[in-house]
Amino acid sequence: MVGNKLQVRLVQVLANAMLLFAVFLLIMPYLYMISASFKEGSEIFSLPVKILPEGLYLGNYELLFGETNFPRWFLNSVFVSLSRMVIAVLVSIMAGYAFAKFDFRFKNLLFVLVLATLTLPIYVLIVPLYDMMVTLGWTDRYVALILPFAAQAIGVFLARQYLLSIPDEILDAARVDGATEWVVFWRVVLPISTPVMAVLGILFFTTAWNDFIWPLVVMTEDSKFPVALGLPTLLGPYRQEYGAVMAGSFLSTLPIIIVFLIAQRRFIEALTAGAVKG
Amino acid sequence: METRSENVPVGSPPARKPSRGRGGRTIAPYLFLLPFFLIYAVFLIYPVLAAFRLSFYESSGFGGDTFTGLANYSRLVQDSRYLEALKNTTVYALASVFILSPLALLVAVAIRSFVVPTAAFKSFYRIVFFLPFITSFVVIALMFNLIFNNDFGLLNNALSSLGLPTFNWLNNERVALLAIILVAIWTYLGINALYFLAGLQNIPEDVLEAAAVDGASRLQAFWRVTLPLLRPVILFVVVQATIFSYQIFEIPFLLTAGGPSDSTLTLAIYLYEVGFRQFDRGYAAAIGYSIAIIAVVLAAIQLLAARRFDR
Amino acid sequence: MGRNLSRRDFLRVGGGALAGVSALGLAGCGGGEQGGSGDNSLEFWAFDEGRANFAKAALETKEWKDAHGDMKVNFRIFPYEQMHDKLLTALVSGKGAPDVADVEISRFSNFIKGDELPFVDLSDRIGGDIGDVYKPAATDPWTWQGRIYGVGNELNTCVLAYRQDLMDQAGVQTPFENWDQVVAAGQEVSTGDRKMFALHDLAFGDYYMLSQSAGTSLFDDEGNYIGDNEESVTALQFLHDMVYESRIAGIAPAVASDNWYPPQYRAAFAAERFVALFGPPWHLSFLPTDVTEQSGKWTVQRLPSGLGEGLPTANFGGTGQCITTQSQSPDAAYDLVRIANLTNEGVIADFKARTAYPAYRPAYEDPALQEPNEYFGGQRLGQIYSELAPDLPPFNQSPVWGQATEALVREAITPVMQDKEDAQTALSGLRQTVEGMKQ
Repeated sequence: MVGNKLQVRLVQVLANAMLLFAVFLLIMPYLYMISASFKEGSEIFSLPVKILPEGLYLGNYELLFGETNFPRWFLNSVFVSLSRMVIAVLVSIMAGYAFAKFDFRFKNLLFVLVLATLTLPIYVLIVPLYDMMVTLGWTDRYVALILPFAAQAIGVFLARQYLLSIPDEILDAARVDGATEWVVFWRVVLPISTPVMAVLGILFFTTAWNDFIWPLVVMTEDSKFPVALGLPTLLGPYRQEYGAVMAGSFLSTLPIIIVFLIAQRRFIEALTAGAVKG
Repeated sequence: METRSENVPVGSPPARKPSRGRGGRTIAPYLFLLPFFLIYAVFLIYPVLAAFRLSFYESSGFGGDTFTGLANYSRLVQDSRYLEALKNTTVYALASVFILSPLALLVAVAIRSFVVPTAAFKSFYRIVFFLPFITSFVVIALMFNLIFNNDFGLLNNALSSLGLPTFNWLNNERVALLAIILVAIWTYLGINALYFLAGLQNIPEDVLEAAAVDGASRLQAFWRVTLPLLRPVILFVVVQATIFSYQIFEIPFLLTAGGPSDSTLTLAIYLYEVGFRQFDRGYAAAIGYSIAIIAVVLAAIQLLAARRFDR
Repeated sequence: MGRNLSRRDFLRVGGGALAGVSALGLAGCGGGEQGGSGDNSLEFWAFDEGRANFAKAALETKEWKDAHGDMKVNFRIFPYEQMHDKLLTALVSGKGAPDVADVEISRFSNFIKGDELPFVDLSDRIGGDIGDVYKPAATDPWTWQGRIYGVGNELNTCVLAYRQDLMDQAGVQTPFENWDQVVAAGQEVSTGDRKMFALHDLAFGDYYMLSQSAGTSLFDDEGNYIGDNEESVTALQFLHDMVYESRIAGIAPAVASDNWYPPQYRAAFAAERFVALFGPPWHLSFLPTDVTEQSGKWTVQRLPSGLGEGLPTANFGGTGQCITTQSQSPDAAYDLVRIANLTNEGVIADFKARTAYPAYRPAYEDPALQEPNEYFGGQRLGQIYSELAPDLPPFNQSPVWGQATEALVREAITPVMQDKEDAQTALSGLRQTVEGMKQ
């Protein structure tokens, strides 16, 4: 058994060495972005690359907060992404639950339909969808960024796959106690689904936050832009504020990290709460 | 969204598959599906149908559309650029199914297992692997332009110090697609690992321990216990990797714009070019639907294969 | 238009179903007006702040204030590629387009496909003013079938520019008469990590300029592809040879988002990895802004002779202001375009802000444009450019121009400049592709 323990240690060390190497590769661009946000324009592109900035140049942040609508863009993104995330997660879990735990007519057909909605590239849909927004009078309105893409098929799919592996007995126990289907969903299914909700929350928040082409088409007023649309306007043939874009990109990852940390807590709670495992 | 709970029938007493009235007597599943399909119906059915209609029309530039039947679709098979894009996209899809997905599983298992002993380290790895996914594409493009730089790039420096040949990665037809695949793996590894982690969360530690007590080695326990229990999530990861691969756009668009000489042209970039640069909207719609058909067929095959395997 | 009506009805039904949802108050505040322009406002879309400021300056003139002082003009700036996408979406759907949009030269060709043009014909409005502009730069690129749909302000007279100090050090005689002298000079100044030129393998500009100087172009004035004639082949072959034979040129650093002069390219000049270039004034403008430490060391001259006809200049690039057919106030919109592009006041304001050399001829009599340029060793660039302007070759627009230049890069420039194919084969092969494009 001693040999076994040694073996375990060896695997641990080797695997962690590899993981840490991967960490190095993964984290580098992020550090580069932070470093570049404190560099002056020409310094960012000077070769060979210097990891650390020469000094703590704050001009990029000053430009971002002084001359652009960045704070407003930021709040727009927070509002839009949170709203879309909440709707999309809820809708996904509900539909995924129906597909995983009920038998009903047209189930397979409907499921294939859901999957099919994933497969059309957005560029085919943009013009007619824009048409629709104009007719509804929704151009330059947040609702146009929140609702049309709140039904995310990938969420339904993931929720279904996840809930498939939940034993029916847990649900039945609740039903025996006389709970309605809605109560079963609210009291039993949702708590069980915390890990998958966390993943979906992260996924939807991030995609909403990084959404670019749809906001571009449907929003015209600068003050209504989300961050992902506002920042690239600082880059043009005659104006190249890469430093400010770096600063803005850095700041705009912070909310996602916060969402991630919150979601991750749910992860770990779900792990330690033995009750969930039935 | 409000569900009138008093009208929803209470589940029938436990059977093997409780509460599912045959032939849909219970409306509960439909009510759970309603919000999703309502949003979908209101916002997407019209664009989906409008694009479908357009795919049978000649609609380029401004002025009227002309009905041309299947002409746009038959043009696809003769269009060498389309076929090139199809080939590149398929290579990419194969890489994301057979390289990215297993790698993500490996990372997830490593993080979840004894390999990473403390909760703090587990959290650390999880967040670091996820970082690329939240880094904006502008930053990713800038960063990888530096890494792949012919003269000063980190990659070529590393290769030459190992005595290996170097390349002008993003400018060379032979290796540009490989570079794109590397960046995609880098970007999407974390989110795919996260899917697996959510699935692994569902497998109780004691099940694995029980297997270990049975005398199975850790590797055997992985093959015999973990993998089978993960099947639904594996299926999910593979299917979504396939579907999204056929829509890959941002990474090649920002790093190579499909070049050099179409060596990284993907179906979605070609669709964008045809629709928004050449203003050939009918043909673009046909390209879009061809992507959808390919993805649906591949996903259906995967789902059916998985079902057969389950039996 | 019956189809449109029924489509709208369909949408209204969908809208009704959603009335409850929008009542949730998600709709945000204000905004929501459809399309850009009301009776008393103009929408202006641009992809660059400098160009937007150029138009803004027109609003400060007395002429504008007297005529439209109460009119509000909203400037919207979007990223370059995507502004054109957004414009297309709004024009196709018939709703939400601005009154005026900046349309880049290679993107304009797309808008002239099909039977209708989404831009207002400006020919009659321009009228006699046409005599005051250098047409190849001011109106040719936005002209189709004899009608003018846009006006540009940038005089794109291509010139050769080089580091005078380094040429002097190397004992090279300047200015250059012909390309042979340039190549000889290049061999003097090029070292292991320094080359004379940075030539592009992912952009068609170098080839495009030199083929014009050689006396040809991509299309003739009837829209036929002529990019594989002898002069064209000579030009491309010459570019290839500068990299692989005389080795006086390297490949220009380029990225997908900017294959012409991204920050990496500018940094390479700042680091003296390249010491000469040829291009139009907008291209040279990166030197004073991004390579400040080389002030006073650069010289500009006409393109050398020796390639084909050896014309002294070429015409490359540009952005024009177009008025969309959706505009409710085309008169005011045209006044804005005219004051900005076709008056001394407008173009000189732009010169002062961006050092944009105008395509408007009378402006060159203004002292501001005749002042010596400190960065370029005290040369009077205004004089040089305006003397070259009459030699600008015409620009022949084609509905497939944008598409053809993309194919040119893909099938000829990249393989030739990467030494994988010879110029003759590549350019002849391109003929089939271009002729197969839908007009």
